[in-house]
Order: sequence, then C-alpha cells, then structure tokens
Amino acid sequence: MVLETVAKSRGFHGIGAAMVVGMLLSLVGCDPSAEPTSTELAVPVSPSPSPRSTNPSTNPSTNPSANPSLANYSEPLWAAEFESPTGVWRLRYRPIPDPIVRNELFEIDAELVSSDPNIRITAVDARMPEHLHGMTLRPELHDLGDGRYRIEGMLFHMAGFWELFFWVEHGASCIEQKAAEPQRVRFAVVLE
Amino acid sequence: MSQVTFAKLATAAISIALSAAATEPADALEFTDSEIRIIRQHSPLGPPPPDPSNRFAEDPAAARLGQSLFFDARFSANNDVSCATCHIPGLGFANGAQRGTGTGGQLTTRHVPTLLNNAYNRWFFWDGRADSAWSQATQPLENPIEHGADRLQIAHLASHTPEIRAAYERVFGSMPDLSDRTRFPEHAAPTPDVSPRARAWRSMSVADQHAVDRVFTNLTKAISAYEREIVSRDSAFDRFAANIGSHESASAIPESAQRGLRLFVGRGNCRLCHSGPNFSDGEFHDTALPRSGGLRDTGRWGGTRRLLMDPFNSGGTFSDGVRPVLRFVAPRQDSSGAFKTPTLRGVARTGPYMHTGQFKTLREVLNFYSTRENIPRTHGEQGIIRRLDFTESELDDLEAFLESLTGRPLPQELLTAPPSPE
Repeated sequence: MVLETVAKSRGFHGIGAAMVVGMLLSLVGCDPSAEPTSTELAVPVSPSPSPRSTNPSTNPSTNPSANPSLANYSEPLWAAEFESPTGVWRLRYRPIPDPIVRNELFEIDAELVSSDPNIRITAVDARMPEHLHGMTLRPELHDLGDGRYRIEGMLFHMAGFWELFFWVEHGASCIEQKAAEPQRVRFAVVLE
Repeated sequence: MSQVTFAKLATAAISIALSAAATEPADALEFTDSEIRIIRQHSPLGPPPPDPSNRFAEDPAAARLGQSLFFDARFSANNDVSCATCHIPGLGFANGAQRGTGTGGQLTTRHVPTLLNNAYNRWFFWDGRADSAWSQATQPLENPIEHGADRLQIAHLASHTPEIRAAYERVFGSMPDLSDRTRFPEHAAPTPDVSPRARAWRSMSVADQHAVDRVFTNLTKAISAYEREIVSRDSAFDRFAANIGSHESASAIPESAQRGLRLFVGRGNCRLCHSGPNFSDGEFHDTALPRSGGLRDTGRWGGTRRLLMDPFNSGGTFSDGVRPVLRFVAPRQDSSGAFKTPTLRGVARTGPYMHTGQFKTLREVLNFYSTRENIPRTHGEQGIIRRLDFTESELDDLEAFLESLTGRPLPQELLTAPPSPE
C-alpha cells in the first residue's frame, strides 16, 4: 500500500540546492537498509511548479532576515512537512545548510510533533532511485528530546533526484505499529 | 636583405597566418543557460581543500623533504623502487602500464592511479582505504609487492642520512635516538603474520613503537606536502569556461571539443560522477566493468573495512585532526565492486584507464560507456549508466573535450628530485 500526499513545502531552495517536490508515504519494513519495493518506485513524483531562485541571498529559506516579514520569525523555517493520515503525528525537516550543497556534508533538523510520546524517528537515509544506489555514508540520528532530532553525516554526492527517508515507529514494536500507521516518509529532493 | 629573400619571408609569414586561421575554430557553440550553469560547476579549479590531519601539508620545507623522499629508491627492500617508479612525472604521475611494477619486478594487483590533483581527493586508493594522502603513502612503502620496505628500515635510513635527518628536524623537531638495536631492530613492522619483521615489532615496547610510528608518519606527511603541489589546472577548457558565452571562448577549444563538452554535461551524463572542478565526485561507483581476470574485487566494500581498521586513519593517534567525514563511514551493501571516480584533469596523459588499467586509450573507455558491451550480468550496477550509442563523430568530440582538460605543464623543478631535501 502506498499513499501519496501533497507536500506542504516552501517549494524551492535555490539553484544547486535541494528542491522539495513532493512526498510519499509507504508501508514497508522497519529495516532502514531494506531496498524500496518496485511498487514504491513506480509511484510518480510530480516536479514542483515553483520557480527556482538564482540568488540564494534572496531565498527566504536561506536568509530569513532578507524578508522583513520573516525577520522576527522565531521558529525554524522547515523545508517540508508531512502530517500522518490519521493526524496522530506530524514530521517536518530542514537541511543545514539550506540549500544543500552537492557533495558536501550537511545535517538535518527534524521535528516529530505528536501527542503520543511513543512515536519517534528511528532512522534516516537517502537513495537515488534512478541510479540504484544510496549515500556512501551512514548518517547518525540524534534524539534531542521533545520530538526534536539532529541527523549528521548526510552527503548527497551526485546531482539528480534523491529520496530522503525517515523511519517513524511507534513504541518498541514495529509490527504493532504497522497495522495502524505508516512507517516511512519519503521526501523527494532534486540537486542540480 | 635582397628582394627575393624578403619576398620569401613575406610568403612564409602569410602562409603561417593562413595556417593559424585554418586551425582556429570557426565559431563557439551556443550553450543554453542550463548548460552554462553546469559547465561553470567544473571551473576554475581552486586550491586543494585543507587537510586537517596533516599540519605540515602547506609547509614548503616539508614539501621539499617529501619531494626528495618521493624520488629516493633507497626506501625500498632492494633499493629499486621509489614513489616515482610508478608515479612517473613524465606520464602524468601514472606509469603508462596496466599494472605497477614493484620491487623485484612484481606486478601490483590494480592499475596505478595518477597523483595529479591527489590533494583534492576525499579518499585515497581506488577503494578509498585511506582518508589522507599521508596515510595512503604509508601503505605502498610496506607493501611487499611495492616498496617492500618496513618502518624501522625507513626510520633508520632517515636517521642515518645526514641531509634527510637535518631536513626532518627542521620541520618536525628532533628525531628520536634509534641507535639501540635491541630496542629498535633493523627491520620491523606490524604485519599480521609470523615473519621476522612482525616478531621484531612485537618485541618492541609500545613507547618505542610509537616513536617509530611518529617518524614514519612524519615522513609520509612530508611526501603528502609535496603531492599537494602536483596540481593540473589552467587547461584550455578552463580558458573556455572563463569566457563562455563571449566571443573569446571560441578560440579556447576547438568546436569539436565544445560539442564533446555538450555531450559530457548533457546526453552522456558523464558529469554526474565526474563532477565539480576536479571532474570527480571523489566517491565510489560500480560501472559494471568487464572482468579482466583474477578474483572479484570488492572495491569500496573491502576498502571501507580496511579504512576503519587503519591506525593511521585521520581519527588515529598520528593524525593532527580528524576528517569530519570519517565518522560516518560504514560498509554499505551497495559499495561492493565500486571504485573511486578518478579525476579527468590531465586524463589524456594518464592512460591506461580504469582501476584495472584494461583500456589502453580514451577511445576504448568511451566505447565501453557507449556500447555497454560485455558488461557482467551479476555485477552490481548503477542504473543511470545506460547504453548511449555515440556515433564515431561524437566519440571524436568527446575525446577532443577530454584532451582539452590537459593543464599547463607543471614547473620543471617539481618533476625531479630536488638538489637537497632541505
């Protein structure tokens, strides 16, 4: 079973950067090293119609102070967010730096908002479906508490279409959670 | 000057002018904005990235010592192999053969990679089993089929050779006293076997082992400082890229090379792996290369394990600072059979090609990517590499483009042993 939803994304990240174009949600196994199924890969991801910024300094995702309306914005600017179909949890993330620089290490700040404290992010990884390979590194996930996470060791070494995966689990048992809630959120990212 | 002579000279001058005009490209191709954006990702090539693991990397005195060591065949088992034996300056710091020839005429298992732009690498060796140029250099020195030396032999030689010792102490401070042969045997190395060298190493105290390792790694840090100076840049392509979109670019590279560039960044998709100003992503790919004999080479898979076990990696005691990326290295399932993307700068001078050295010419490499003939079915693959069916004319164009990546000649003084290591 594969569910698709429209990204609540700011839509663009600038040239040479990540562009969130959509997200998919799927019911798959808990193992982060598991290969995505062909069904998942067959699901189309529509490119965002949003324009690209050619000047990162005017890109609000890069430089909030450049936009007076965002100058006092106290919360992080998320690159994209997703709400689970049942509304039990909401996941959002932003890369650091934003935009992502091809072939340079970056980090991710993620936030999982839920009234259920047992729901958590258990792994993060990325893959290039057209290339049949993933990242060359193994990122580290740090649980900062209060639903906040920091992921280190991300590296998109090639230009092209990347899928960024977050594994979301409920409690200790992946199997119990499988019946009720989806487990893997997939964000689509394009690097030039 | 007689009128006849003048007429002859004038004719010759006109002839030369016509000849020059004939070789000049007719025009610059019109590149799209998207193509220009991608082309500009490849140029110019800036200075090498810093090496936090080697605080002597930018030290000119270390580089001169390293250059001296690079050409010194005494640092081998039979006084017959130096770094320059395989990394031949006149052959783009490669060796022009399918395999390297080590001490006693032994052949290496893989092709000798060029050292051009070595300092831009994130990983070293075809399988990335080292994460710094200095830790890379420790391995061939002790490899029995390359230099075949050992770290005690190397430390003693450096200690006993006055000019090397003086150069060493100028850069690294005083060298330890290695004269007590009961503490510091003539030959010893921590090889994983029961050889006399291994037994001799185990007989040493940890403190003495540490002192020898410090000398050994300082010497390879000096070699690494020299290698940072071996940079291929300022190619005809760079001159083209600097002026792309203007009339001046037309004269930088022939129209054929411009067509090849368009294929490189476009239909050929070559730029996906050969990315950035050094024309390499520095990472590892399985291109489904036909087997050229021998056992299956696991490439990065095995390289990752060796890197993590290497006491000389950048997280180790002898490193001056850890490379941030090392922390996130782990064996990944899709890395088996993958090898490092080589730089394409200077590539026309560094054949044969691939980690196996199985393609003698650039044309053979291009044909491999164009036809995808004889690729093994069981090999891991990169789905993005597809048969491209280039025409002969397109292959000519790609070859012309790759030729345009040859940089300005390196200064002559970098190509031979210096008069003195100091």
